[in-house]
Amino acid sequence: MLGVMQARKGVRLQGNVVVMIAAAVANAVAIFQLSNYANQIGTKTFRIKRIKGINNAGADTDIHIGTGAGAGFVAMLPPLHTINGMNFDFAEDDLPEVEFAADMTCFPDAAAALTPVTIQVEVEELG
Amino acid sequence: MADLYPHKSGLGLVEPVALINHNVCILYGSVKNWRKVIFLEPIPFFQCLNLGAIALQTTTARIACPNLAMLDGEFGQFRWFPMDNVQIRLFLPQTDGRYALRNIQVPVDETITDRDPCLHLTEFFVWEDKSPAFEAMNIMDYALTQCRIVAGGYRYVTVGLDKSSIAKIEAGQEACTYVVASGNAGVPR
Repeated sequence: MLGVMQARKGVRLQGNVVVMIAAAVANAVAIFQLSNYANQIGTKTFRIKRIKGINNAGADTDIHIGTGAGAGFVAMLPPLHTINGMNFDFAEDDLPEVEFAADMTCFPDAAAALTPVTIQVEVEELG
Repeated sequence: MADLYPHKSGLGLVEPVALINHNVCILYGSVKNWRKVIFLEPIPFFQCLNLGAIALQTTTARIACPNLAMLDGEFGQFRWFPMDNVQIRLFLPQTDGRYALRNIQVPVDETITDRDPCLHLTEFFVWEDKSPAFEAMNIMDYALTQCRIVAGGYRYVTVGLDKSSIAKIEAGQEACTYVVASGNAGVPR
């Protein structure tokens, strides 16, 4: 059956709605956490399928998506430009088939407690 | 009977493992139940069990599924899949793990509907009230509010075979389908 099916098709999942209240790489926060229960059978990875959010930062800003935070941050996508006061929505066709093997993190170039960038992602987890 | 046998692979949805007037031998532990099918009916896929909310990275207790129990003299043929993002182990009965390899007991997760769309390899049989039990792992870093299992297949009503029929079957003179309705820990070495 695998020959005619999409053998690497996974399970669609979504992260929580994450309110990013601080800019800069040191403040990168998890926007999707990989399934890595010690008792699970198999190793999971995931591919990002959709990014939805709103920029309330008071200015246009880039958001950066990768893994880790601070000096350990590794960008997995190019920065995505978002427009102040607008929703942003990057769907599957806009996104490369980048595969994550660790929690996905994100930070904006501009955000503060009263002027956050809010984000939610949909992923396809494989394994 | 050549087309009817347990866990049949290949394209196609669930098929009955025996038809009316077919002989079956239901293996439950070390007991052989020699039976003849007198009635069968389909059981459409339905939500047979909800294991409920599961905290992140947690394994549930082993929970029995009485909705898949059969009446006396009956056996059931079921295929199944989980509706939520969990890894589920099947026990039949409650102490015998199914899908057992030497080092692990293979779980079933949501990907089964893509990898085995007709669910052939999930098939199991229930003899009378020896219903299965399920144990779910929420492997995610996110809590689950539901853990639902969907199953469907066939119900068979059977009567016992007389000794002469059993002797003919054992001598290879009469056909019989062997149906495994419990786990097996292997032969002691």
